[in-house]
Amino acid sequence: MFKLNSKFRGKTVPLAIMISPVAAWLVLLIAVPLVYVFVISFCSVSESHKIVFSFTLKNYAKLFNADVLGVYYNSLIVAGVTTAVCILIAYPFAMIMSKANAFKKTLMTIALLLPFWTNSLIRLYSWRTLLGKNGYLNDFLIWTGAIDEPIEMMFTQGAVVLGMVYTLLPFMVLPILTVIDKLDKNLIEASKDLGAGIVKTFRHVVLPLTAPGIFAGSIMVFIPSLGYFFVADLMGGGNNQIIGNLISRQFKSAYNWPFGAALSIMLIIVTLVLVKIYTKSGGKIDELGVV
Amino acid sequence: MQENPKPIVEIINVNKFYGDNHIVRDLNLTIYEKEFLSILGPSGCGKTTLLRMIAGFEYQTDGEILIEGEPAVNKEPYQRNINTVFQNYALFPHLSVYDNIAYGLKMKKVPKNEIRQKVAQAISTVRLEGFEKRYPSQLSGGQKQRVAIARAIINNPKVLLLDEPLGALDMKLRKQMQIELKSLQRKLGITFVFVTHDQEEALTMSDRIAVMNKGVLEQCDIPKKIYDEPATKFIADFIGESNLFEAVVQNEDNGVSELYSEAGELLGKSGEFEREELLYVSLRPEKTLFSDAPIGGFSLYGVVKESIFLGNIVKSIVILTNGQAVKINTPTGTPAPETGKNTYIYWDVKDCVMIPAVSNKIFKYLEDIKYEEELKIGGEEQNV
Ligand SMILES: Nc1ncnc2c1ncn2[C@@H]1O[C@H](COP(=O)(O)OP(=O)(O)O)[C@@H](O)[C@H]1O
Ligand SMILES: [Mg+2]
Repeated sequence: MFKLNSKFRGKTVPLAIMISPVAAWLVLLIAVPLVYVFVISFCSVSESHKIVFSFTLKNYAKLFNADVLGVYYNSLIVAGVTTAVCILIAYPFAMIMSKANAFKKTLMTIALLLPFWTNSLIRLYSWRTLLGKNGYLNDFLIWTGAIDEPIEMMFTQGAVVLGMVYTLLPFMVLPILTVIDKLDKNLIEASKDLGAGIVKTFRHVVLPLTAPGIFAGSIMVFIPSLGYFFVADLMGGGNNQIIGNLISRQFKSAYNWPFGAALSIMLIIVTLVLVKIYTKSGGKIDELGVV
Repeated sequence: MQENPKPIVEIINVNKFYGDNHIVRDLNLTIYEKEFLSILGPSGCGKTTLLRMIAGFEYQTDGEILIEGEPAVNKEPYQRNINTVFQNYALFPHLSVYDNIAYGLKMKKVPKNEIRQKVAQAISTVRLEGFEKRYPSQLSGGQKQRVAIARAIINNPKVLLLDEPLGALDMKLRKQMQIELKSLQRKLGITFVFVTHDQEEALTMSDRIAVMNKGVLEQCDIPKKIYDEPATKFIADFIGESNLFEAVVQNEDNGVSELYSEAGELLGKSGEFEREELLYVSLRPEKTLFSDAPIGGFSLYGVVKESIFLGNIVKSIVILTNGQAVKINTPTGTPAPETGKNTYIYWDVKDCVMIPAVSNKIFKYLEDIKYEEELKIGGEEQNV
């Protein structure tokens, strides 16, 4: 927003007129709600769930209540494991993709992005037919004799992580692919020339030089996996609450908008801090993909 | 070079294909210990490919490469006593100058003390004291170059491969680095294989020059021989300036051959040529001479199109009767015809170079082709 405004200065009027509808749109859709959330995070609620405009910090104090700390803990584990699993899958995938010829590369990009054309709820729901008590995987395992009774695979923390990885994997692949594509292949040869084998070359040259992509991808996966409450709902069945569930509950059923707003502000601050660390360590903001 | 040079790299009948593209053709080259060998040729002629095969990054499609007398097939790049200075330096951007140079030793698990000592030594060899903590992005082209060299020589290679190392530098720095590289090679007492497309650079720096054209090694010899006795029309053209006369042998007599070209009669060296054999007679501009009157055996006649004063020489261009342009350099002060004047042209027979035309070679190749097979194919086609 502020960037847009500063860009206006010194520009000719026609450009300002051209950009102003976009600017107005951004103000309306992003800035206004953000300011609203910020303001009500300092308000309190009346008995009848009405927002009362009086300054208070108790919503922020409540962020450290014992009952919500457990949710943070669960959420951080889900987000952490999701990020780690995404790195482990995305890195080799991106490497193969970077080496592939144009045709295979296109195929892999389509495979990666095609699921986005269907509704994510439907896609997540389909995991039930695979992993549910009467799902195909249980049927298969019983058929092979590996298990006697169907085991509960849905509605576990593992299932939530699976759903998160499934939903967020592309956000890890794309930034990593960008850095791998940019890696000068001569550096790998130089390393081999100087006596390093494949493993040492990976550790001392490839990994450090692709680390910014891993970090960018991690931000893009970690932050949403704190908030994607519908994944936790569908895959965790209500037993596995994440911060996103907490926020959505404040707005939908608990009718405590100010506390929900305080939680949201906290998430935004965490995001900004992570992005700041990323740019401080030399990362580029547009390589994060969608900002 | 020593009296009895020992071969260190032997390239024997090597061919390299990328798909259907024949990049390196039947190449034979022996590289000796402690020599400064330049590989010279225009961009795209296969110099880098040849260098990469020596380094071990690429394998020949057929033929053999011996390193220190042993086949190189199964040797990884780091198992060869060879290091490379890459075309764009390929410094590790995330490592400091010190760590870049120390990389090879660290990979070989050399003790820390020894690393420190050797890096310090390499840094002083390339005169980069005080830059240890900098990163490649904070260095100029010339400094990057020095780091790349230090990083390669710290491993004590017997051969250093340099792929157009001076290509990215400006003229002045380039001249300075040429001198430094040459003295570095003498100091280290190792073989330098120096790839360049700059003929002047190759002529001034090398013990020997290998000239490549379209994947073929056309000549490998000392600079003076390459300059004075180019083996092919391409080399006569590519190295320095030449006037080339396409001519047919008429007669040979007393060490002199009489030839006939489109522009007129001319004389060349004898060399057991056949009558009617097609040749190129090549002359350096400084060996091509003006004359007011016809000289025996020559009937080349033309008009001076322009003459340019270049300090110690005057460069003239003469258009002969057939339209061919001839370059003539005369030392300033010696008489030369003015622009627009008519003149005869001649030369001292000992100054010219006789180059067999490629078409002669083509006839030799044709002799090798098995005509029976060719005819059979032809016959089948007729049946269809
Ligand atoms: N990896 C490769 N795949 C296909 N063609 C290549 C490859 N590397 C080089 N070539 C081709 O081989 C030819 C010679 O290249 P190169 O050895 O780099 O030439 P030079 O170093 O003399 O400029 C060029 O036509 C180039 O396009
Ligand atoms: Mg090259």
